[in-house]
Amino acid sequence: MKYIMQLGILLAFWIVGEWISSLFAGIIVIPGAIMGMLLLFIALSTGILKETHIKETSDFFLNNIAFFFIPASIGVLAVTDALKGAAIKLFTIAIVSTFVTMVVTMVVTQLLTSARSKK
Amino acid sequence: MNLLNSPVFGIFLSIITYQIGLKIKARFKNDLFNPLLLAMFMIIGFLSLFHIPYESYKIGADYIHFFLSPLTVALGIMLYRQRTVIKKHFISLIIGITAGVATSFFTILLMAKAMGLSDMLTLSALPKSITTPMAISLTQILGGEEPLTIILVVITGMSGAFLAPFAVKLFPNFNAIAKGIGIGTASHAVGTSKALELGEEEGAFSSSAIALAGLITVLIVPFLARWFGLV
Repeated sequence: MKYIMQLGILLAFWIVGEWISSLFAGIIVIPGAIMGMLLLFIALSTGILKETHIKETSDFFLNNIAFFFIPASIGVLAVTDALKGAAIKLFTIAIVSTFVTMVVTMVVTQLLTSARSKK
Repeated sequence: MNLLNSPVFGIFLSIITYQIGLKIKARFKNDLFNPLLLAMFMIIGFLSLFHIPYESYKIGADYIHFFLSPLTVALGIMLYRQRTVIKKHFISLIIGITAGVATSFFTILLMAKAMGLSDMLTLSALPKSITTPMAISLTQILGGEEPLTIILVVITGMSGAFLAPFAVKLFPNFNAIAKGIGIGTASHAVGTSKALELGEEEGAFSSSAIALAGLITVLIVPFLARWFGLV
């Protein structure tokens, strides 16, 4: 019962998130589920919602996150033509860009935090 | 075979292959054996071996796919649990992560242009450094291909976990905040698992970067993509 109720709360935040996103549709595109996530964060921070109200079902999702992406990943079968000859290039881009992003973020964050702690 | 027209086929195949993937991962304890990629290869192999159409798998798979949205909402609790860490270093985190998000965007754009990749492939690659549920939302907005984005997110996580020790060795004097934020911003939860091995503090900062990097990416990348004429 607890799990079902908690799933209901998550779905409710999704529905409201979709609705609020649609209000902003002309100005900025925010996916409804991500708006729902922000609303959930706000509700928890303001105490409107307690962590115990959604804890078990949320942890169930977060601990098994990869499972829920299996269906979408199989869709790769439908785009194999577009991938032909580009797979190696894409993987190279992914690896190089990850390393450069990691290093730049580390350097910028280090400069900011050490400058602030010296004050 | 009637079973192939029932949702139970796709759901059962997903569960079985994922469990086998988890077992393989546990057996070899190596980041190269990613349960999601293993399940993907097994399902694709199974479908093609028995000449089962993708549509049969999709009947059940769509039920699992539906739960991606409540899962994304549940990320809010992750952000909430990191609130004390985030509040304490708010400005440094926001600027540091934004620098990382911009770096990710420009390195992908420049390399994709240099290699002559199509806009569709470039758009599918742009969300690759953020956690999968948010990356899928972003790729839908941008008009990329969901499955490609997922595969690139997984590759990014694996390479982030592999490269993190080298990046850390480059800067032995850096503090745990810089190391953690760098790893989490570049390679989401999979990289974070490596950050946790480096230290508890590195791990905490790396996980606080996951949701923040996702949010900042979702907010600014659509604008950057439009600015550079990709959409």
